[in-house]
Amino acid sequence: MAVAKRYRPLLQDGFFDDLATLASRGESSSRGILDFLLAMAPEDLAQRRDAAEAAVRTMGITFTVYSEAGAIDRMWPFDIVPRVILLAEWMQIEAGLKQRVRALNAFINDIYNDQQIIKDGVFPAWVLEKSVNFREECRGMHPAHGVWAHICGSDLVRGKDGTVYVLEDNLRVPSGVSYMLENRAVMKRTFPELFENHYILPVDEYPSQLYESLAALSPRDTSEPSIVVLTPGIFNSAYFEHSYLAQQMGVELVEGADLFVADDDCVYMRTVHGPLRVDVIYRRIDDLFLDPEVFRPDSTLGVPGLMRAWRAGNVAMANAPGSGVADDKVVYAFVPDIVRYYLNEEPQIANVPTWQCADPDQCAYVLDHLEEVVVKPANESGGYGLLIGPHSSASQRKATAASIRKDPRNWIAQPCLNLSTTPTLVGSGADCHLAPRHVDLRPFILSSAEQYVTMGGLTRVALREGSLVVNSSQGGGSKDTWIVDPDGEDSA
Amino acid sequence: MNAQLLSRVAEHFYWFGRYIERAENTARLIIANGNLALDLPGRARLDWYTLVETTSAQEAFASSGHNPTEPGVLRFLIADLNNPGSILSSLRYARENLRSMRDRVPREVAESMNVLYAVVSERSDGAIRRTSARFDLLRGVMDHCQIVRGYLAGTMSRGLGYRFIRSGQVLERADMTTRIMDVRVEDLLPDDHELPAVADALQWMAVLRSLSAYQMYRRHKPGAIKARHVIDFLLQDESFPRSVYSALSQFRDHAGQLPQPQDVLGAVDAALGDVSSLRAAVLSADNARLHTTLDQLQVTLLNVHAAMDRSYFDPQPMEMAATQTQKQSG
Repeated sequence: MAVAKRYRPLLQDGFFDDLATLASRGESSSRGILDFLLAMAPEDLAQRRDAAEAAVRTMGITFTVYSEAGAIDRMWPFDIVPRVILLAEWMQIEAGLKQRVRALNAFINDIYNDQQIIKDGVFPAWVLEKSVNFREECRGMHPAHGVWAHICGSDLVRGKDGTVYVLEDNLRVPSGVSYMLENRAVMKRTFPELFENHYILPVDEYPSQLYESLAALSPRDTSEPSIVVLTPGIFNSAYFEHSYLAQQMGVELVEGADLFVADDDCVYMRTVHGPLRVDVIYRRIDDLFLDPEVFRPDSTLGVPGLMRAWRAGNVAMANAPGSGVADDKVVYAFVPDIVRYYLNEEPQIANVPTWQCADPDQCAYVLDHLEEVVVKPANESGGYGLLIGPHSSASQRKATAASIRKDPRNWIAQPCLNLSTTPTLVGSGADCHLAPRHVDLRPFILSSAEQYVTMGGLTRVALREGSLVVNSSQGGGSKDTWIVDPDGEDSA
Repeated sequence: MNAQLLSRVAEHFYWFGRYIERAENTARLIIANGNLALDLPGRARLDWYTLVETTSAQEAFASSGHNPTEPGVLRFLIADLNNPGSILSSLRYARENLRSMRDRVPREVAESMNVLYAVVSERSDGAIRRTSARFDLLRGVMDHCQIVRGYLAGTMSRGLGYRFIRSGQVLERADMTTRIMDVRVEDLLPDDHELPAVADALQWMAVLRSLSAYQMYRRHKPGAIKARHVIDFLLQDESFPRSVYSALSQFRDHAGQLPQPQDVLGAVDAALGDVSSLRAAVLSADNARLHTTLDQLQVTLLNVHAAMDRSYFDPQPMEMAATQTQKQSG
């Protein structure tokens, strides 16, 4: 039997490796997990991968879209090597995330009410004027517990010195949590030995926590509020997640046409027993499609009158409409100030240093250093308009510079981060071995009567060598994230 | 809380049941026609286009561009996704309906549906070219649909979802039985062709076989096969599950378990009354009259469907709200 190749992390290039760096520092759990993997023969690793893929496929049956269009079938490549984070570090990250989201909710609430932060000169009014996610219709609202963004998915990356940064906050309809839950189920089948020998904290609590968070928003004082998950329908790429979460929580999965708002400004769902009042809507459709009476009149996904019912306080929506105002890339740069302003605390989790092109000095710096930095337009998503300086051509830089000069407020820039790596299985058969690949992490933060952070989150991995892009559409996959407690391990 | 069922999901359950049954019965229909062709002397040419009329698909056929020949009609009925009534379309719709309810039906049902869909889409070409492959494929469709029904019967809780699936199935079955009864030699042969003497018995045997009714009929009526008895058996027998009367009785049993079923029960009772009042002796003597009667029965069944639609799938929201307000204030 062939011996597994040694794992060669990219440490010498200035990258932090989530497993190898800690193992090399003598951390026992990381060392144990890495040694276990390195001791396996390539064929054995390949076999475990095959078994995991078979399990994904079998479980995928429940998720698989039953249609000819294979494109809407979401089989996301899964890597069997876990991404490990130690519990002690995770506790700090968790505290930082809770603090951050608490501040963001205070910010959203302020923005739609007194706008004290603007009056106090901490946050410039022009950012709001340029925001595409600010909703005038939400002014004056006071959602329960002062919380607007009940479900937040923050993307975290680790820099070369090991520091964890928040790259962005997704405050509208973040997705991916169902992969986190499913990945764990697959891993328990794939590497049961590791679960026996290490204390890996469970992630299964999420659906119950989500249910509790939603139930605590009910406008009616009832022991069993009527909660629904509102999906755009079966052709939405995240439909399986909508369906999965509804099933896990034991609540109804509805489409817009299943709901209606009656003359009493209450929301009802159409059932075979007649109309049934709805208290809480976990909506997985974007603001602008929620209510054709208020937003896009051509939307058939939403419910006419929904905003009316929400404004009347007869139904709760998670996330509240307008929450997206705080996940704008320009707002991002102000988050440390936002934390200090509302909580009077120092941020416990780092923001990536950000240059605002709206500021003439910062703008000049960015224009002089286009070859080194990453430039992002404030209000585009999905990488549109993005310039990665070190990988850019002169003509691309020229075009971006022109765009920045034309509308500096629409641009921000950040240093190029050396995303951390984690061992990932590559190659096949006898060549199957571990190689470093770049990863990020999306934990989910629930905020309602109480706050809850997933134990870890969804690790996304760029499966192509050297690639920094973790999106599933561009060669990305996912990994199970293990929060490991070395103190909880059996010393025997 | 758990007893609630969205109108939309209820409709998916119901149509899932209908499409499964439609796929199976379309297969039976083609088998019936094919068997008849084999039984006819001198390779008399059958008019396959009649099957298009039997399934009320003339318009779809006209726009499909197929020739009204055996291969054209077979392709249209088995594998043409532009024909909403083809076997493949029925299976596709069944699967699409299943998507919205798959956490509520046994997983094996979805798996069987996937296998069946793959089989039909992959093998339809061969089945259209070769008669032997055709029978295998169509029999496979029947078998798989029976497997699905078996899993539903054996492993699904008798909640509202189950009632809606079964209601859809048996209503579709009643409809398809009337259509399959209409597949007979008189229609299938060109007008000027002389009927062989044994044709009457042959054609009804083919119909019985295609409904898997031959053995049950034999136990019920030994001796020579008489049109009158077969018609009586297929329309009015109370114990054979594919007879129109029996399918409607089953529908009544399931619909009776649904919330506030008065409207639907009224419609199905009217249909049962119509079926009971038919006289097989009269119908067997007059083919044109049999044909018209079967058409009328199909209309009666449409009324039953319309009652389901009104009661559960597409109730008017404002009326619903009014009812709700009354309930709350009352």
